[in-house]
Amino acid sequence: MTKAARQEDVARFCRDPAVVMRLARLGSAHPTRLSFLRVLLRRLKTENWTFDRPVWEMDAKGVGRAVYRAIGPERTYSLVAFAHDLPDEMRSDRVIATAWDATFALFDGTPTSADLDRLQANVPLQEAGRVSPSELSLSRANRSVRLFDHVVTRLAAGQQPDQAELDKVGYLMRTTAVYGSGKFGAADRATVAWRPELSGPFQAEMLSVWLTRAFTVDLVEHLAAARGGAAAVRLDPALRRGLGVGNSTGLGMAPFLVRHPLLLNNWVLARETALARVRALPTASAEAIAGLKAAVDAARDNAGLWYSEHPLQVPKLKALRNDLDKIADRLHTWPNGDLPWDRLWLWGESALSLEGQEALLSAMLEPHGALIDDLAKGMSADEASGFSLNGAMTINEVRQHLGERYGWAMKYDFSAAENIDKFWYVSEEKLEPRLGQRFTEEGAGLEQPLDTARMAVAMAKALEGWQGDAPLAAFLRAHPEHRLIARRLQQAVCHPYMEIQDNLIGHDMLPIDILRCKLAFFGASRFDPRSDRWVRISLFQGLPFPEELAKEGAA
Amino acid sequence: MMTIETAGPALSFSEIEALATKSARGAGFCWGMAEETAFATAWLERFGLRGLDLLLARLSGQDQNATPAIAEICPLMLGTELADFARLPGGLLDVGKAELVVACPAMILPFLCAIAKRDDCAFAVSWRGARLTVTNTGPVAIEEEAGIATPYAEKITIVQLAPAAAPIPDDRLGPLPRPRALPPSLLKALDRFAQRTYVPASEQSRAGAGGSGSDNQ
Repeated sequence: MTKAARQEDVARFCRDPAVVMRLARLGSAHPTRLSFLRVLLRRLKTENWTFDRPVWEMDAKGVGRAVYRAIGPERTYSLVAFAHDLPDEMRSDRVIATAWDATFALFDGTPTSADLDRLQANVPLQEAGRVSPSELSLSRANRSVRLFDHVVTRLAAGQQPDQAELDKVGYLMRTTAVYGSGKFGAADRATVAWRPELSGPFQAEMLSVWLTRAFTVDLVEHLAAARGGAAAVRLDPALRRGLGVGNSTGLGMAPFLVRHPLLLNNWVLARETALARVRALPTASAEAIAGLKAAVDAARDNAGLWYSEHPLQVPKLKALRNDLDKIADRLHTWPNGDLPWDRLWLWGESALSLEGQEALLSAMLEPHGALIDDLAKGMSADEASGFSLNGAMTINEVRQHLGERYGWAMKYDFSAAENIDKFWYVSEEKLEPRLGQRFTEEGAGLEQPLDTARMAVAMAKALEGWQGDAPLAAFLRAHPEHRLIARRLQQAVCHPYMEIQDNLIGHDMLPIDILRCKLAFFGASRFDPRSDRWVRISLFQGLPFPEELAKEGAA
Repeated sequence: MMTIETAGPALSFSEIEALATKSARGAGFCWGMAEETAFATAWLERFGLRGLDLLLARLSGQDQNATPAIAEICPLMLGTELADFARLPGGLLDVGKAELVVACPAMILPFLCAIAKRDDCAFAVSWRGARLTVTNTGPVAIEEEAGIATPYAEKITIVQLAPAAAPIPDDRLGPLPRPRALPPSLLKALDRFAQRTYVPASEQSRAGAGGSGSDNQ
């Protein structure tokens, strides 16, 4: 079969954007082997990166600094970590916090002592300081106080911590922001995106968090030794493995997905193409079958350890656990005919909840690295390329594209209060992104442009009466207020997965659905909502530490 | 008496775009035009043409004197129109040239570059004290530059040229220049516009984000 014919064959298995881009499904996303942290670890392993810790200057209270290096074939990156003595009452995960348990920067190369001094003066201040183009990322983390103290106390006494306690939290520290791409003076993405190791999305941020994970363990061991002296022990590697780095995420991530539509499209397209390639397979090899079963087992273990008390998550977890049982059961009589993967998928679509379907997707991708890992290369985006508006497009064409790409928006009546119940805005307080209630709060006049559905409907209305062969340029000259949505519409023509096909200002919109979509692409495996707009997750749980990477099997 | 201002921070290009978007919006531009402003400002900064200074001049003009006459010579509006209408009958590429009066004339250049990129051509641009060529990669062959950064309204002449050689692909342009250290007074002035886009703090507002429960667990 020719390559073109093969691609066409695969294309028919691609899911419709109208199915994929719904918030409820995006909010049920699971990490896959195309998630960014998996892409990072695969590269670090295949390129034989080495790791060391040239600086460790910590006092007995766990205050000081450290440097962790990742040394690649061409370049070196260093996590510079500062540990602080944070009073409990100052601990906050929100953007409005002003002090943290630990602060970090990812340095481009190996920092000199002058670099370390400069970073010491700025990094602990986070947004109130400045970093330079020598830094790729700026972040901070807070302790999970109860677990952190438990682990230090046990290790100091020569004992290991309680497995159940570890499982309940899953991390010693959690990041509360990881900034990259030019924020606060850090290097612009364009200056480093040409480097293969940084060309994929969020690779610098993932590297920073992975090295932070090692730091969190080193810190508890250090404090245990300071407290217990010769009696103290190190953390058992098997227990250590189950610890990730937590992350506490709020509304800031949500505008990101709307403001970077080409990027979102490319992430989703890669994943959907991967699923389509698997579904198009004529048979299932013994190896792939075993791989699928192992992936489903791992998913069941994960679901067993996944802990959340939140009323939004509890029923989803129940549905997921039931569905994973159903999938395991189904596999007893599978494969069962030609196009076995497609048969399994179609069964899943009819029999499983959204959580179950998306978990099945992840499991189906897992044994097919050779078939799909190349798709990771397509997950970044040249956002500048889609910016320039084509004024010569006719009104007829605009109407056609509105129907094809924004037809889903036309069902909303935006004169109804429940459809405009919320508004997104930026607070004066540390520029924290927030979600307001339009009819009971101040500030709706300063609304951020996340109301894509409403904008599409408004443009469709404003186009009424315009001649079909008139150019878009003329319409926009008369109505510049539609320029933003007109640009999105033109981008959407070639980017079918770029738009979240739900009303983002409606009363029943759940911001955590948007957050989970992005976090699943990062590689987060357990989602614990703390409200409808705040979620805690863990990254790198169960995955190797730097010194274990070389000995691991393929990632 | 002359005061010398100590250099302030060097904003990344990403920060320049964010500041330009917010200050344009704060000055009253719609979001779509604020996006165009960010594109144009970052482009100018990238080529050492002081986009942020020009932006401040443009926004201050708008703020103090919001008459139609000012809007008519807005380089951002005229630049987007040039780009929007370029391929249409009567547009820049159809006629092959254009003459217009515009304030902060350098702010037109990024839009000409966008047209050059999309339509594979180049432009000779001149106004009093400035003469240069704009290709798909940026401003080249700057023959006169004393008046390049003027905030005043000037009559500019644009003539389409055929590209002399094959356009240079973007990915071989080389690394971005290191951003320049900016005068704090400039940042403060632009920030005053940007601040208008933030909602003031309040107890109710503070409750509009974050999670329930303590972070001390």
